Amino acid sequence: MLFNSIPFLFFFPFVVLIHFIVPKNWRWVWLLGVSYYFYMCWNPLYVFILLGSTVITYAGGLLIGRTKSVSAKKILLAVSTALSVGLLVFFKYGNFVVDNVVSFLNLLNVRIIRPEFDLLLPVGISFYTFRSISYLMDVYRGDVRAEKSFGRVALYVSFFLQLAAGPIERAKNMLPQIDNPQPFNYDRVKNGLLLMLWGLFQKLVIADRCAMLVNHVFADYEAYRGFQILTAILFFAVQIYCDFAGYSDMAIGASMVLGFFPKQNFNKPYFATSVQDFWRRWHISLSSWFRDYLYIPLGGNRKGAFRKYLNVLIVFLVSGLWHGAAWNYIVWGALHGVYQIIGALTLPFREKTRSLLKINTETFSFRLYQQLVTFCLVCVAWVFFRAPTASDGVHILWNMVREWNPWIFTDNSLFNLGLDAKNFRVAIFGIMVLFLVDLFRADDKQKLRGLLSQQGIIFRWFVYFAALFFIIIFGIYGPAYNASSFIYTGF
Amino acid sequence: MTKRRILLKIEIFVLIFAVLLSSVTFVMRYKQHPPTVYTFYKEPRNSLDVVFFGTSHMRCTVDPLQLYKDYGIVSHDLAQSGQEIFFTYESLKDTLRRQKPKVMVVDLFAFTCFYRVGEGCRHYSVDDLPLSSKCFFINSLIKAEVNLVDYYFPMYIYHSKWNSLRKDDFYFRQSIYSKKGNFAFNKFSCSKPDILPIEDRLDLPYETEKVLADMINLAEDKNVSLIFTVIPYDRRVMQNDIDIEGQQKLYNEISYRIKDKKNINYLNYFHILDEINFDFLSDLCDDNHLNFYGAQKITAHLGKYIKEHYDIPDRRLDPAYAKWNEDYKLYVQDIFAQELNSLKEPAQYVQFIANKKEAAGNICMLIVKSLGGG
Repeated sequence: MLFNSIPFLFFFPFVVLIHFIVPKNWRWVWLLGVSYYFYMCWNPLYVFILLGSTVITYAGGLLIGRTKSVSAKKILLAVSTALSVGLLVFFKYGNFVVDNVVSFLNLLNVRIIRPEFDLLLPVGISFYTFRSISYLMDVYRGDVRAEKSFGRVALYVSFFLQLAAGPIERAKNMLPQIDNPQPFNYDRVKNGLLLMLWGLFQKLVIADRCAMLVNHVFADYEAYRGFQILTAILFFAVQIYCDFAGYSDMAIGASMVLGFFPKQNFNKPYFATSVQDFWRRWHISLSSWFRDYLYIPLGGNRKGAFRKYLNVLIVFLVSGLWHGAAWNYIVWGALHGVYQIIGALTLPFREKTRSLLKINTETFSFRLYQQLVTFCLVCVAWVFFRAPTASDGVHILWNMVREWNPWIFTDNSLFNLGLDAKNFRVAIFGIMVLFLVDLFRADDKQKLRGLLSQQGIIFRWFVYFAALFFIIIFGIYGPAYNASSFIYTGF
Repeated sequence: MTKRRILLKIEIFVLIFAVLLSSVTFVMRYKQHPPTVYTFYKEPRNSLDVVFFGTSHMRCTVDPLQLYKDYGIVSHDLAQSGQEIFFTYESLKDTLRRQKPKVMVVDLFAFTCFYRVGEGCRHYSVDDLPLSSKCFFINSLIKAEVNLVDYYFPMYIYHSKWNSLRKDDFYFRQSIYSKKGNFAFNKFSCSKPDILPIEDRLDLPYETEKVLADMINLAEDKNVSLIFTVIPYDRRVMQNDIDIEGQQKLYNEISYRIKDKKNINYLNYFHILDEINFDFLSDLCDDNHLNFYGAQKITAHLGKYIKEHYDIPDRRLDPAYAKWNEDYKLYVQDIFAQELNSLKEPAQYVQFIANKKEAAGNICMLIVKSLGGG
């Protein structure tokens, strides 16, 4: 059950209604039941993996919390984390590991029959595994008290609004909120619904429309060149942002309706002035997770330049692997790591050049230059994220640079890339709205909504209805209208 | 903000949303011409004496305004293109919730070919229904394993039609009158199929048998007369590979099943082609549907048959039905326009004018219009 599905349209209001009827002390029970039902909608069998992960998290947290010895704590942390990660590796990376081992052995002329694992990747396993590890690490560090209630830990791990695609909420932020349910608050609920509406706009109007062009071009990239490929890459950059940020906004908005306040997950990432800055703005809950639970434990920047660069590379390789069990994701992650290492290595040279040329770095034009360079680097990496394989990614980039064909913007052939002219215009309109919202909003979207709430009711309601009907009419959902099924009209 | 005020705001918001959604859905959705479902539900309650059901066969055949003009019968054609029989049964049931017809005429074509033209055909039957009736129809779809959301929330399917909207989509309802005919004027020449003897029968499939029994029981319960009809066509093989001979055997089986039933009659026009002077060279517009000329022949026979076999009042002088006279005038103009537009040769125009002197004013106006338009 996705947030942008019809069942959720009925499911969520029902959950909210009962949530505010149930006595405060029992709300977590209701949410836990709802979360497990939500998860079972995908596949009832998945629930056993979720339950297994929760038992490991609960028991690990309790044992770490009760143990006084630091070395024993370390062992318990290592064991419980290994078990959690083991589940993830088994279900998500089992086939990937086997494939690569078999390929490697084949290279050595060792022929073996590939064992078949018919494993179905459980939805959200990457997210709830990371939430579990975050809890265990926080208990180990003493940032969070080991929770005695199994149910509360289970709700933290499985909270349905963040189960399938994050954000990866920290235990120290979430558990106190579970213990302290919020009463119904009109303004908070309204703001949550508005954020959900914005997320829906990003997902249905922009992301899924851009996907039509992207899928068309990437599925047959050999047929396209130059600006056709470039357009598809730019559209993919928008698609993945709107898809992910849209889903996050819906999750955060829905959480707000229920009285939870997750942290912001995206903060105008394409306005970043460096790749490092990009990662402070993109999927913040994940990048901060990697910073706190991988980069810092590896030594961070405390053990010399070489170790720092190695740690950065390790973090981004793992990040790539986390996004998908395939080499193209690893290449994507590696590229981001390499960008940052090169950025750090060339920093003195770049600073010296700026100083020699007396470039004022505090100007709009310089910031724009930095933003454009960062955006281009990110887009190159996105090619590997979207391409079926890493070598396809190289071919796609080669196809882009090998031909100069700007006439596609004037001879209408641009509209043969999977999006007709009208849909293309709607996509551009949506992207402009997205750009303006990101440009004018402060770091917190709340302020933009606050600005709207200061307006008169007629203006506000006009905006609400306009947004709602724009999504209803121009959103990409449902079976596309097929005129041929209505063609039997003469009779 | 008080709870009462919050509730009031939510109620107003939902109300405005519902009104806007209904309006937008109306603009976006596919419109059928003529919109017979819409016009049927606009009829005053208990005002109709005869209602017709079935598929495009019936839709292209019966001419309610001609029945009114010639026999004073007030009727409505609820037949829908490609309608499946469980929908036809729902139509019968829903009709009896709103009207007290003395006769219901059901065409049997869909009972024998079981074909589906596409999801669009189901939407013809459902989209124009009032909400109170829609639920019954949609519930009957559960068995068909279709996505019910498409029917409860038609924007789910129609929203992507935004890029092909035309002026008509915004003004459609204002431009129709209630009982316009749905006729083609072209002539499609085909041959008369072999007519099998009535003893040549084939077992009915279970679903067909069930729906047939349900219809008969419903008519008996409500004390309404039923006429089952078969309208001539020449399509030899249907989409599901049943041929016209197989269909004839099923028609014969149905006639056998109902022969002893009270208040149920059977009119297979394949068996009385000579009596109605039906011509396969000039009375069809394609191999499956009647044109205007074929429709007039069957409408005339049906009107006479109903008048002779049932006690149907003549409503022509009833002031409550004065609107039917206005509709008839519009209908005549429309038929003239359609017929005129179908003519291609100058000689045909001359012949047309010679045959229809009373329409000279309309014809001149239309010709001047067409000349003015270049």
